[in-house]
Amino acid sequence: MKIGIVNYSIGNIGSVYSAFRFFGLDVRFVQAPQELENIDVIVLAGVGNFITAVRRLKALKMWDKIDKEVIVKKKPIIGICLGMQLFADLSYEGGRTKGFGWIKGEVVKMDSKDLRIPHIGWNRVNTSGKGIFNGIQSNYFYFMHSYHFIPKNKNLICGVTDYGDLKIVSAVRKDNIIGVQFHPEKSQSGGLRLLKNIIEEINC
Amino acid sequence: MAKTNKANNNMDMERCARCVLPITWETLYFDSEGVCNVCSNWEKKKHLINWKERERMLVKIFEEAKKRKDSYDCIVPFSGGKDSTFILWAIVKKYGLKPLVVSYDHCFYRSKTLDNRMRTFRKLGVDVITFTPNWQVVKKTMLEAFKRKGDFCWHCHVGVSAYPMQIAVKFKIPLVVYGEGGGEYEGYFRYEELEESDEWKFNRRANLGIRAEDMAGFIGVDLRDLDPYIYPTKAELESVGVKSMPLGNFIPWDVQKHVEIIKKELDWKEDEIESGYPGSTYEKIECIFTGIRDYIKYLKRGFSRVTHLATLDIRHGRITREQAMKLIKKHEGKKPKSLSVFLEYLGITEDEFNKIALSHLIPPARAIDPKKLPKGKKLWDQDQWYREK
Amino acid sequence: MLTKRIIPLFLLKEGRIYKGERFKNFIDVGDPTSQGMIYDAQGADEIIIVDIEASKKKKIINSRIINSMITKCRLPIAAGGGIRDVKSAKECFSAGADKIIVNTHAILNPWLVKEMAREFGSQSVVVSIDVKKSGSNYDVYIYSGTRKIEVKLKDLIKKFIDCGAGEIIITCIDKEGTMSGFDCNLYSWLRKLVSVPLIASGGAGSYDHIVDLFKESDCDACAIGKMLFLRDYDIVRIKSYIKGKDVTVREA
Repeated sequence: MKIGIVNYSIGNIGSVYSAFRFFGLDVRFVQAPQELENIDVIVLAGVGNFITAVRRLKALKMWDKIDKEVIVKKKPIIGICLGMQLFADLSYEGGRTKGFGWIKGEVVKMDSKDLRIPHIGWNRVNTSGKGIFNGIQSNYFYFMHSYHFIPKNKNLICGVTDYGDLKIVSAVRKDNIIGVQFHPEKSQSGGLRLLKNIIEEINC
Repeated sequence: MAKTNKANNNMDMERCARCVLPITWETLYFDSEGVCNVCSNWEKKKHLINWKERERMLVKIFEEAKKRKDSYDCIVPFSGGKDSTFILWAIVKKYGLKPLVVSYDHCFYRSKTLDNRMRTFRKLGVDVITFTPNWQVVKKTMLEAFKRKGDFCWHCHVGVSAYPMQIAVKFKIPLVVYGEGGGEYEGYFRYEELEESDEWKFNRRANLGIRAEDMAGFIGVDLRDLDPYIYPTKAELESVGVKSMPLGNFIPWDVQKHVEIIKKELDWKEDEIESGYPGSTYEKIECIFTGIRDYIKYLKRGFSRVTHLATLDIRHGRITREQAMKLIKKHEGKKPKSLSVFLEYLGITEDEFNKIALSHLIPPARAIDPKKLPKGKKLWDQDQWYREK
Repeated sequence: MLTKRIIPLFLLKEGRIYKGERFKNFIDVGDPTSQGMIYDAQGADEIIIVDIEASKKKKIINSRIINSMITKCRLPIAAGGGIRDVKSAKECFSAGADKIIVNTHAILNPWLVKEMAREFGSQSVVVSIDVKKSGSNYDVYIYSGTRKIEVKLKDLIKKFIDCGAGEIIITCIDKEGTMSGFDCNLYSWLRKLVSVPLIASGGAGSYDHIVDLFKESDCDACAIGKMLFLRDYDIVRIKSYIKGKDVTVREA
């Protein structure tokens, strides 16, 4: 199985690479559309600005190619943090910008007068404990974001996190499309276990 | 230095409602009823672990090891204390494996232990590698670790963990079997966790927060001079498939039963130590500096081995909490006679020793004036120990 | 619920971690990758690594060191030291930092924070300010505590938050390395001003110091140095104790 981490110069993808290498998996960076042909699993990670991310992917001519690989070829894609937010219809970060639109819903700024924004630190992800969250002892993961994704179809939500009065969608799943708002590559053994589970599920 | 009070002034520390462990015990905390996490973990061990299932897993692991039909089925890291002696006996006699015994010599073996070791090796019939490190380097690490961590046993903790794993890689022996799994005394590891990697465990607890790569810079030596202390890399361990396994995660650990077995089967003998109850014991008899170790702990944390032994007795239903407190008051907190030997090895004065030990005070324990402590009895073999002068 | 973070603080100098007292008398406390692996295994929530000579030497923190750490450690790393513009910040992120820390150059030019927040997102930008008590006020220092700058701490903080700083870390130079406890009054006062996550640094010396900090000031995190490197404490023990005193903390 070949894993391709999209390199679009946004945030630290070195740790994502290192996490997959921990399991001895075949993982590489991809930054040109033709490189995606050989990839079995696409990883879209990143921390930064939604509008910048979209612009960069389009500049690299990766945007349409990723869309085709995921929707037409049904290639599995793992979205981490900003990567997951790109699944949405649109985001308001940096101005109204369209996302891939694979999961209907919007990315909006987290807003609560009592809370400290950005949401930074370790928070609990409430899940069914099954599927990709199977066998993970500690369900605390590391978050760092100011915007969050609100999917329209609540059945696609497989992880929810409480932050004050906000209920943050922390994990989504729609067939071959898996997204997490937190950073599994930065969440110690629980995070590594989650990545392992995701790869094993994809392999089945 | 903090204002000191009478000796034994830490009897009033916050303690477990059940077992008397004080709040300064490493990793301790209390629940809403004042019961400590070590007691709770111990309850889990009794009630929640399916020990039959665990033993089945163990036997399966051992069958796999034997199937390899290599020169050795496993490595048993060995000191000669009660735990490693029992494990070796069990591996050979109960489970029928052929081990390679790997003993890291911490340079502090006492003569009764050396005799115990010889009897054990000869009666069981095993191949043994004993590695003795460079004494000059050991002394440097002892002083450095004592200054930085208030714990001079770095070379021993790390040597005992790392060296057998190096041999496992070198000799291509995938299975390394050691002692009780933790959870018995501290909260670093839980009984339920079976899967964490060896390197993770080493980094989490064994090395006191100092790896060979750090220590080399501290004592001004090349990394190669700390070779026995270098933990094999993940890649090296994976190339052989080395996995270490605490026997205590698979069988319920019953120290008294184990001691009975090794006394009967291997003629294992007890000895006296400076810092326990009076008389002979099976606890930590293999090292000449058990007394110093416990003394430093007493100065740092306001409790020591007697407290530890008393809480074990409480948990096993042998004494009450009140009896435990009486025993602690009576026997704990004596200055060991072996201090003169220790100071000689490290090349420091008693005042320097006190200054270092007291700099590691763990509040809420309060500073004790070492000069006010009663003196302990000299061990029967102290005059036989190696002297620098 | 978000848990309080316990963060080992690595002060980098010539490729090794150093520890001092009040920004002086530094001694070597280890190799960054080695120590990173240790604190990762102990369950630290994050690591902060700052090159304390970078600004003075007109350099930035060594990318190789950050890169080495991220290949061996699975926890967030915030890196700083000499970061002066978007380009040097980008180098840090490419090396593997999750967040960048700006201090001297941001204080001299707060506009830098706005640029960084716009380019990398607020959540990736940590502003670090070193202060010394002066009567009932706090003076701000730059270049690792060697130069005082005439600016009101309150105004500086407000400016940084307006510019989009994601987190603020305040180090009390007088307390740093003394193990005499955090300046809880300072952090309680800051808590009212700082609407983003706030990290306390300087003075941790016992379990109760950490408990008191969180209970009195409600900081989001604390950075710890000497207690870990030169005393017999570790993250597992710290978290066990403070959890027992009802501080919301993730298990080690």
